[in-house]
Amino acid sequence: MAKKKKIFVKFVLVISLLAVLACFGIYSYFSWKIEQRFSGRLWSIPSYVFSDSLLVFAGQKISIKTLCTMLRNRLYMKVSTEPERPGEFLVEGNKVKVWFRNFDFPGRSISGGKVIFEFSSGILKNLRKDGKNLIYWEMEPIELARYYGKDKESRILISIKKTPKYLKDAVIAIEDRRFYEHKGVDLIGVLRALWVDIKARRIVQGGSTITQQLVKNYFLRPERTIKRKIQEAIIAVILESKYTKDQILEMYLNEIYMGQRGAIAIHGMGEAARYYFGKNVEDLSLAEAALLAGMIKAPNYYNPLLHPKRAKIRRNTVLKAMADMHMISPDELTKASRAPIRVFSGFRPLKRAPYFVDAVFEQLKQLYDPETLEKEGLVVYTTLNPEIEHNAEVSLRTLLQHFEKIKPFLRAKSPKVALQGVIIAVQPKTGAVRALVGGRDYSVSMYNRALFAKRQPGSAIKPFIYYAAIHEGWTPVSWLDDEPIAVTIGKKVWKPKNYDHRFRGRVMLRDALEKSLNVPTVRLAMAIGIDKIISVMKKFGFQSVIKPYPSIALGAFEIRPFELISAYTVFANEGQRTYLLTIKEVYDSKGHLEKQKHMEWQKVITPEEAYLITSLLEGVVKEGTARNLKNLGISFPCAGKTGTTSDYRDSWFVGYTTDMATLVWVGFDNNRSTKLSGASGAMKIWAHFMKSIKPWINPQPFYPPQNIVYKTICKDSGALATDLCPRTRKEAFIKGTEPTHLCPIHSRGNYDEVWTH
Amino acid sequence: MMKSGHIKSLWILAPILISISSCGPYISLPPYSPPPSTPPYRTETAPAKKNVPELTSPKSTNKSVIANQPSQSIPVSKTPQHLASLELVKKARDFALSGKIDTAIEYLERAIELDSYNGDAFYEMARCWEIKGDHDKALAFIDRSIRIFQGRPNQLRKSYLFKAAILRASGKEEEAKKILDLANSLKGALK
Repeated sequence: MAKKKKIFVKFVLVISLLAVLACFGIYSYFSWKIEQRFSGRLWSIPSYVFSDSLLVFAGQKISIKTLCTMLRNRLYMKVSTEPERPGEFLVEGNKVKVWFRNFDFPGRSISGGKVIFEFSSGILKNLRKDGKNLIYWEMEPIELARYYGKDKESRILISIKKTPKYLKDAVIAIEDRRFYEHKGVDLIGVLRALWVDIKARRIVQGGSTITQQLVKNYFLRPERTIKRKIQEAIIAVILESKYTKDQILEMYLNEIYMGQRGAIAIHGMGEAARYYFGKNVEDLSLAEAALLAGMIKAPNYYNPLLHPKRAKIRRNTVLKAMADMHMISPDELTKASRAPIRVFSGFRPLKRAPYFVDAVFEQLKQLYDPETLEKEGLVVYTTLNPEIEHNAEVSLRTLLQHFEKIKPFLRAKSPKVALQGVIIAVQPKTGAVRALVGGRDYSVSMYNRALFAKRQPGSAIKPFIYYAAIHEGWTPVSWLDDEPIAVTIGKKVWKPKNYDHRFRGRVMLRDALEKSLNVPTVRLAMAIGIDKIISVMKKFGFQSVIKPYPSIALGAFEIRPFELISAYTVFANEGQRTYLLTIKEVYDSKGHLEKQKHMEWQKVITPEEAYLITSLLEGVVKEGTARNLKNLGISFPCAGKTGTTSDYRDSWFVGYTTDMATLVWVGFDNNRSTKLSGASGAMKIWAHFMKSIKPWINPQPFYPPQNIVYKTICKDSGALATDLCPRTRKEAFIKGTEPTHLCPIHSRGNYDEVWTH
Repeated sequence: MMKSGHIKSLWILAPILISISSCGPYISLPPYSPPPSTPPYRTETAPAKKNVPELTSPKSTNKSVIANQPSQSIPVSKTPQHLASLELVKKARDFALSGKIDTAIEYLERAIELDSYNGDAFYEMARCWEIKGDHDKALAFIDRSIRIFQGRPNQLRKSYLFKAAILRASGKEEEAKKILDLANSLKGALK
């Protein structure tokens, strides 16, 4: 008997030991699994791409309508009563009252607050915050796009400290009311759920705690088996032993699935608050918090954008549960239950400024591997001005449609072969790319013509030929031959002609450029030397291969639009080439600076040479091929050049003010003729666009540098004018190159000589 | 790495140090003779000259010559953009003082975008880049401020002095002396 007892004791001891070992093994295994999972990145977060922030200042010419559009683009909701929370605005007579939310993303922090904008006659007269007048207000950047991975999850991480108590309470009340009492698994909760399910004879309530739900989403497959349930319970208990309740709740609030945005899954309360209400999580009202908490059960079924009635019923259920647990007062319950469902329903494309964003992605891919971009939540701040970009897209679309309307032959059989266009707008002093539109419709063609299309620039290249001439000593009053010329290239004879097929005998350099005459330009280029012209092009940063033919003087070679606008910035920035920037800063998800780019200049030509070219190009706008700009409503100082290629395949206009250089190209991808010259096509788009962005630019006169002298010259002789000269003009010269002789044609006593010329 | 305290003291002391240095050993140097004003450009070359009519000495006197326009100095803008731009420069200075040079540069870039002729923005930009140790960039920006400040002796002198300091720091003593002399030549015109 004693022996049997001994054996039994031994057996129990061994079993107990094995049980302890098994428990220890299970604990160690799952602990290791948890640690392994949590030691790495908790979530895959896409990289965010933001626009630049925007300054709005007193005295700016913007209307109430424009401001409202800007606010809607930044997910602000218009309300009919005084804004109660950040993210709302009210239009009241000539005032707009906005409660700006805080912008708090890694690397940038812009404080919010209540700001009152006062308007008068289309001008923002005054900005006030807390009773004080402001000189300017910085508006938060717009999210342009995200760089998603294969799982296509979107998520904005929140911290439990910033999460409003309403939201935490609402989630606990509806999902796990004994969250702060149980240790991962709630037996009472399971029994209660079981009882409810038996009574209803169907599954009405689940017994899973918040910790179990987190474990299910985070560690296990979504299968309904007993084995998985046991694993879920074990891991939940271990998780509770390792992390605090607040840490678990924070993970849950960031992990939970909250619906779909097309192919993109919305995860976490931060993203959900942004998507459904256009708000930061800390700015949610009680009703909004309850609505989000209610959605956890079935996010798409209770989606307030699609099913507001269902969402309201569910929200009120959550509110009632909160009141039952004394988390809110009866008054709060009544008020919040009566609140209408107000969600942000404005236009929210997955990708704004798509061609620009593609260009940014391309650059990012050269800096980071795809996994980092898809998962590590980099934050990229760009130079894009969303308002300027929007106007560029509208101008291009509107004017191309207009051209097709007035010239039916421009209409294409399919959108894929439709008339295309490009707009690139850059700040010539800082190099910031403010807008980049690489095609007419991104949904039809993602091909970014601004960066990749190789097109002939035509006469838009001429300013660089004339720069070479100025550098070699020609002046605006130098005479150029405008007589027939034949150039033999190999076995072919090339006979360039002017656009009007006329020859003027001789013309002044200024007139030749202003009127975009081909023959004098070819003669000039040949006199300078084609090799020199090519080296000038290289100096301006052209990277395309340019073969040494005389026809390069007329732009008969291929370049990319981005190269051309980059080269023009040299003239617009007084001889300094500005490196064009799309990315300003990149931060990691913790706010550490990864990359930063500042404005950078490289001296290419002297300020005097740049000024002379600008002066000639101002002449193009005032007197030359672009003189119609004033009829198109352009009254501010600007300089520019038209460009048209053989058979009207390309229509160009590149123009600049002191603070904005803009290139427009129009053409067909298949090189079909557009029958549009630079002036009748691209220039009209340029004018439409530049007028529309007037509130965002500040064009000033082009002031001459110190070594520029102005002389009044006779238009007939190019020499210093006398009071007998009937046609004169003031002309700019680099000091030392100005004419020193008086007009020989109109001087007293020289009339006989005049007729001998 | 330079600590922010050092940057702050450099920032405050820089103009004082420059002013002191401007009265230093250079005063005893022979007066600076400016370089010939004519830039190294050739006058018209053969192909162009060929077409220019032969110029004869006219009998008419200078009386008949229309007066030449003097080189324009850049007026101070009074636009709302200019005011906002100045405010940004102020903010940039505060950031620079607290050692946040990159943030200061960002604000200055914005100031320049709002007003391309804000000489103060370029001046401060030069100071920021000098603190960052990039003399070339500092020179590019101080040159632009000098161009904008023509006709405004107080600001112009300040820019010249800073340019001289940059040149000295980059080891270009001779050029620095010339610029310093230019700065000193403006003393009489100070308001």
